[in-house]
Amino acid sequence: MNRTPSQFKILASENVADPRLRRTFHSATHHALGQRAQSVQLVPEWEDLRERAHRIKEEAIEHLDLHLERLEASVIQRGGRVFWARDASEAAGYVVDLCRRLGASTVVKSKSMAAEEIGLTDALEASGVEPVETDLGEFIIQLAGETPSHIIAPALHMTRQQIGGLFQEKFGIPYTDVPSELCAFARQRLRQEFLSARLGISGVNFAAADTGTIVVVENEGNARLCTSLPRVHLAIMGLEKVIPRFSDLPLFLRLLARSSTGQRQTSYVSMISGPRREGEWDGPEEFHLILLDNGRSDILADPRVRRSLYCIRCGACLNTCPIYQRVGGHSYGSVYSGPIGAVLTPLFQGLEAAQDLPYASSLCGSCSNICPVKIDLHHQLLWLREKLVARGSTPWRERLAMTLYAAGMKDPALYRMGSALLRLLLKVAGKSGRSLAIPGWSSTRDFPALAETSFKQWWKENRNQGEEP
Amino acid sequence: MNASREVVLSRIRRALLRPGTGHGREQRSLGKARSTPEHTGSAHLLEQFQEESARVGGEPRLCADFEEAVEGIQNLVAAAGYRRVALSDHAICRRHRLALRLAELLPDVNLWSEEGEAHSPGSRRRNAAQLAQADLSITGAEFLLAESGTVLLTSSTSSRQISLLPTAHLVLATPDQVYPDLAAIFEQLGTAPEEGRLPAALTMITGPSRTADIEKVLIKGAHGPVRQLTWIIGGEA
Amino acid sequence: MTVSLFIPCLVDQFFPSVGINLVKILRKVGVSVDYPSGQTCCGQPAFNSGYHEEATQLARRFLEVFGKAETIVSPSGSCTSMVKVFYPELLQDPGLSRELQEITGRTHEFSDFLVNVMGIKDLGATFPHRVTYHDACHLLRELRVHRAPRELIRHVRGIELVEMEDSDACCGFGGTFSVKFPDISTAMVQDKGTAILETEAEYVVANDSSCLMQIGGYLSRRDLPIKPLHLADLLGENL
Repeated sequence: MNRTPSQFKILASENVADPRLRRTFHSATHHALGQRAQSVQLVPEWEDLRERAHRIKEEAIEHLDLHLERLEASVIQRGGRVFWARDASEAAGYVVDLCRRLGASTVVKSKSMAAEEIGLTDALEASGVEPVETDLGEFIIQLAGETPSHIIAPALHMTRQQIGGLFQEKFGIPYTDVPSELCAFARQRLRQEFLSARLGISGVNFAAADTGTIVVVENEGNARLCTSLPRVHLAIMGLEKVIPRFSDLPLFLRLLARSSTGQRQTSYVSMISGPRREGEWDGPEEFHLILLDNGRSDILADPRVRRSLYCIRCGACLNTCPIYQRVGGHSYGSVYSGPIGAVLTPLFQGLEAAQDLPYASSLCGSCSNICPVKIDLHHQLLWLREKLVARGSTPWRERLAMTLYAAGMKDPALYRMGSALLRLLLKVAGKSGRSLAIPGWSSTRDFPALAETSFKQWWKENRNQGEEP
Repeated sequence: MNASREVVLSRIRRALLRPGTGHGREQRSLGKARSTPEHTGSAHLLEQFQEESARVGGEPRLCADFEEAVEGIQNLVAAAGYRRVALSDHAICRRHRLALRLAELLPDVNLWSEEGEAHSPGSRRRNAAQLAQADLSITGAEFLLAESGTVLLTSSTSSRQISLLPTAHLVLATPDQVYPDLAAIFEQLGTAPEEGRLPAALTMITGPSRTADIEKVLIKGAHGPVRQLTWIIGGEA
Repeated sequence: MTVSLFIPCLVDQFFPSVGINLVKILRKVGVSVDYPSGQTCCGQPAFNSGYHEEATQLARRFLEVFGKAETIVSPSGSCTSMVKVFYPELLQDPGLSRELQEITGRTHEFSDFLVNVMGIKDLGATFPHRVTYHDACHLLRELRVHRAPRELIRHVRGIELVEMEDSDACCGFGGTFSVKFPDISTAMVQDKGTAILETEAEYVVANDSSCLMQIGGYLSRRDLPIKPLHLADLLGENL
């Protein structure tokens, strides 16, 4: 199941032709959009909130070094430890070493896109530690040996029957496809893991620099369990998750919950500031925070795509994207899918490794329109396209076509001559007034015929007709 | 502090075209975009809290006084057939000697209290195992958030696991704890670093644990409590 | 007032009636019409494909050709947004900024121009048919024009406007996207087609010939009994 972003065209064509997947993604994304619209409607100042969030993210990213240093100091002051990871292997190595020190043979893990990004579960398995995914969706896809197909709902692509069959096969339980029964089974099974694990791993939705507080947003309670029960809690975050102040949180929490699931608030929000404090009942004895670069500082270096670091991973751009709705998350061949994935994956994995992704957009702009932190996603895609062209990575035929096009369009005489010549050729071939055959277009759609007289010609001949005397 | 710290930071500074460290740079203040909050505990806020909590499957209720709450607990336990009940050490439970009174009223129920439990790692583990068996836990809130029907708990007044492991979780609160929105609550929290009052864990709970990971079907009680009850005491039943 | 027409190359070559009808409409509302003959293409195809050098050359040409124009009106939301939204991103040349700012302020999509600049909603057209309106992406989300075309349609005598589901969903054209990813593009226009069919309208109206080419090309391939119609054609032909 090793998909790569270079396979987008093939995977997308396969998936768009799969009626079941089409239905699944259509109904799931439209359901989410409906929920979102309902809850956003209740906030008349929504546009102001987006604007404020954008400015706070801008503040955080434009002074990223300061905020990270401040975050680090705050976490350490709270008794936590901070590890800076240049790349995926350094981050994963830190977790593996920690497991060794703790003698942990299993770790419980809640949902974290950063952990997915660095392939943490593979790294743990390779070193003999069993990583247990505890988010129901992640638990299911881990069992199936799959990857997430949506930021918020990782098992979106699977039916209840598939999940029922999977549980039957892997656990030897009687077949059921009743969602509540499947969920109850997972709950009971994972309880044992929570109670015995020495290390719990979580992601981070926001990290407040001034208080050293990391925030984990969820609905199931598994992240609370991961961060409360084990003796050690390790949180992993991309550098860009830092926000300047604890007092910025209410704004971001409102935007995130409503944008992702349409909830006023998610069931649980954990705001964690260091390990258990003296006199508290419970909580981890150690708190570790990994600050993951893994390509983010390179994104930061290009001001034109820097704004992609504002992303709060709400998944709204996936839901609203007409491409994502039809091809699903797996087509993107990476943990980040949809419009934000089309921006981030080429930036993380290299433009040439994900060459189709910047083009996998009709530039309809609904992603930028819905983004709660106002990232101009489709404009970011345009900049990536420009980068590809500037590096000479586009096909020679396309480059030639563009050169000819620009030459013809730059010179009105050439444009007129070309347009007349084309009409003459069609006439000679007896194809005047007939639909043109365009490769890539004409197999499913008729292309219009060239007009007998262009507007330019008409104007030349009739410009004075009908004009008031 | 590891070696990559300087590497990552210098990459960031280079990316931002920033010479050396940026210490001393003026930070833009965005100012507060908030107006004065409504008074806490107003009838309107209580109503809004109940409405929002119920909407997400929470079970809100107003109790005229603590007597009514105790009676309510008795009825709840009887109606649901709860056999194991866990009590937190929260001030609201202690103040009203809830453990003692429930022990008298519910002689058949296995009552477990966090009160006086040792704080060692070993005992925490034993407590977790206990709590995982509990049908109902009773804790106290710090703040209630009307806008979304949310309760806020802190790790300094109750354990984290008592509100998480049992099948049902009942939070006791008072009307003055109800605030209009999160920003108003944050103003009360005293989060300034020099104040250092922020507990290690501040938890917001909105309705029961839930998931929609299987075909978007909403299921209550994924990993946390299946039932989330919030009773506001002294709020004119 | 003199309006300089900005006629997209697609309209020029394939759908000249749109331009002709626009001339008719503008004259009807009492403005003089001019057509700077040096114009060709705004450069959007190059810009959208990442060929910014080529696009820049064409953008500069546009500024030369239209530099003296008092008001610029175009029958395309997409080409108008190229000028108003994307030129400023593309031409980050401080020497051009004032000229550019002035030109973008004077450029309008035609329905926006009629309703919001001229204050005209009723052109006196008659069209006793059931129509549905497709929101072209650039017109809607780059230029935020949503009501103006609907106002113009509603004021046509005898017309019945039926909203389709997700009228703001992309038709799948997206320029070269439609030939780079024909499967996805076709899947998108299929859904658009279904939404249009459900309205039982006779015509699907839009303000962009590119969307209409995509939608129309699909409808005609499937022999579906709905005709694509540019708003300028609807209004101009039936005055």
